[in-house]
Amino acid sequence: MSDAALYSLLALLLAVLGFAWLALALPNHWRQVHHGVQQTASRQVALRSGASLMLGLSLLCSLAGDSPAMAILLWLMLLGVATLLVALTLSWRAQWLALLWPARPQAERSAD
Amino acid sequence: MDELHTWAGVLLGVLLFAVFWTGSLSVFDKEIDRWMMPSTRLHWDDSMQRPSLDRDIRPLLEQRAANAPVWTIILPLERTPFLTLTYGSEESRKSSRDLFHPITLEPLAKPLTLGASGFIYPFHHNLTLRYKNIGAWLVGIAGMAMLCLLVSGVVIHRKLFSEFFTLRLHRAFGRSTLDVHNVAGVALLPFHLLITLSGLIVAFAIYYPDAPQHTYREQVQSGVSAERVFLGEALGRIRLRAAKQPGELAPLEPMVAKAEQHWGPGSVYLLRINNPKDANGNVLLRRTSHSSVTKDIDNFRFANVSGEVMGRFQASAMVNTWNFIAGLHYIQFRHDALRWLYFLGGLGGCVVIATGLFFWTQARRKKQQRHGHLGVSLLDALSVAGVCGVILATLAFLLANRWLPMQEQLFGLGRARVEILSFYALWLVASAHAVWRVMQDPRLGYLHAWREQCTAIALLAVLAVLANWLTTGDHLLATLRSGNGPVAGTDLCLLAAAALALLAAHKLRRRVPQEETLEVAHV
Repeated sequence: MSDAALYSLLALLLAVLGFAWLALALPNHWRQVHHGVQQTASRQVALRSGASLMLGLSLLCSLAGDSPAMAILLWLMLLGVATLLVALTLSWRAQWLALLWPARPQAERSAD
Repeated sequence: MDELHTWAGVLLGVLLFAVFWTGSLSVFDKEIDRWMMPSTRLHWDDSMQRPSLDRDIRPLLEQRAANAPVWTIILPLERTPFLTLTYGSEESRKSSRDLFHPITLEPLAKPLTLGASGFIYPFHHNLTLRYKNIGAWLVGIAGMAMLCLLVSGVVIHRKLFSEFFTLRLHRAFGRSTLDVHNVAGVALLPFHLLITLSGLIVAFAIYYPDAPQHTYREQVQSGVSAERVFLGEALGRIRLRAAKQPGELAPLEPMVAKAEQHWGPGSVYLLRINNPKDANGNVLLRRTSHSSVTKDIDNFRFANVSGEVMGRFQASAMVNTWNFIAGLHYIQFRHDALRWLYFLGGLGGCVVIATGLFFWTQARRKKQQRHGHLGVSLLDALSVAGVCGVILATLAFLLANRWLPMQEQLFGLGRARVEILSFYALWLVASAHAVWRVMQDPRLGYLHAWREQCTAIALLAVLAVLANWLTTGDHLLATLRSGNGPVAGTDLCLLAAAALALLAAHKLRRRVPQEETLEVAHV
């Protein structure tokens, strides 16, 4: 696999992670993924800042693999693909997203 | 905004679908060409030795078109792996075209087809209605409508952020259709905005035909139109008058070598020799733009007799901004991942348009459920004909290409013309079928029409793969093993289309009894 292809793939994975966290920051999807675990405001902030970081890193990755104009174009397209992948995962196997931000019900209650 | 979205969608949705569909296919037009022109299924990469212009190619030109006023040489490239020679005549600048093997220079069998680049791509930007640019104007209006749809779609989206990822595929039919429309529409919004806007800007000369008149009014000399001045000054397209005195063409290789000193080795791909045998002629060289988004229109011009540099055109910053936007739209640079993403993004646009149409007719139908409303029925028929019909027509084009005998003339027409007639004929049949179905059964006919045409798509797509195998022997295992990307990719896409169409037909079949029970419950 060429370097450029590797960077594109990495950029896609980071974008998927970023959008998955953004989705988890939304109350309805958090409930869908973690039944019975209360969402907290601080966790929402953490999820959103983590997501922004991942999306930024994704852009850096695609910039590392291509010339700037192509990289930005590629990144915009990958954001679309990542959104669709996260939406499809939520509709088909929502539990899979729990792997990307685990939360255990017991630990939650004792922390509260 | 609601009404804008509805009316722009209902009135122009079908046209937009056709433009997005043919546009998506045009992303891979050269690859589909290889599928449709078996004699050009060759391999070329940059490491291979180019044929010599003076020793190998000039004799071919002398032998085939010694007296032509224009010769064009297009050197082999990765996506067009053959040598192309075109010879202009007095009337037209590109009248005949011959293809040659890139290494042996044997003439290749004539393709006898326009291929995707000669039919699907023109259809994308002018619907092949060239008279007074009617087709291009229709596409332009559809493009403006698409911009309105994109903006109004965002405005009327009730839960843009809270339902950003919401795709309830298991829920009711109408709900899941709308979710697909929303999620795909939002996810692909940046791409659809870029591609629609750039598509409109690319064709500025059609939509603003008088622009050069105003800008170049002072510079117009007697007998030269403003358009000519514009083409020469902004785009480097300069016309030449023959001196009507004989001249001898200088060697071409040194000209290429001189240009490649500036542009980099192996960058010249096209040579156009104007008035090769006249004392006043020139040789125009153009370069590839594989490694940049910007479409490169720079050129070098050499005097044909002396071989001296006559001029070098370099596009201005303003023109290169336009070239960047054009390059963004045409995606002719080398980037496989982006090309696939453009293809999928374009098909995503097709999905958004089709689900939008389907959702609207469904919602209307609910309002007027008791008495099948004629307007809604006709719009149903139009949607089926516009969505399934154009896909079926494309498949008919591919099937005709593989099944028609390889003769220049068929039924008194050129073979290429018969392929195009097959496209329109099947489209007409599909439209008639859709109208017949909704007329026959105003309540459920549309479901039958969708289902039957989906089944037909699956059938024709599989037949096209079989036809390729039977007529060329290049079956999928062989093309995959030998790394013939374009042919294997086209076959795989056809099979994927067949699978998706079958899935859709299956879902629709399960849908019919549900609708029937609903109807009964209402009565």
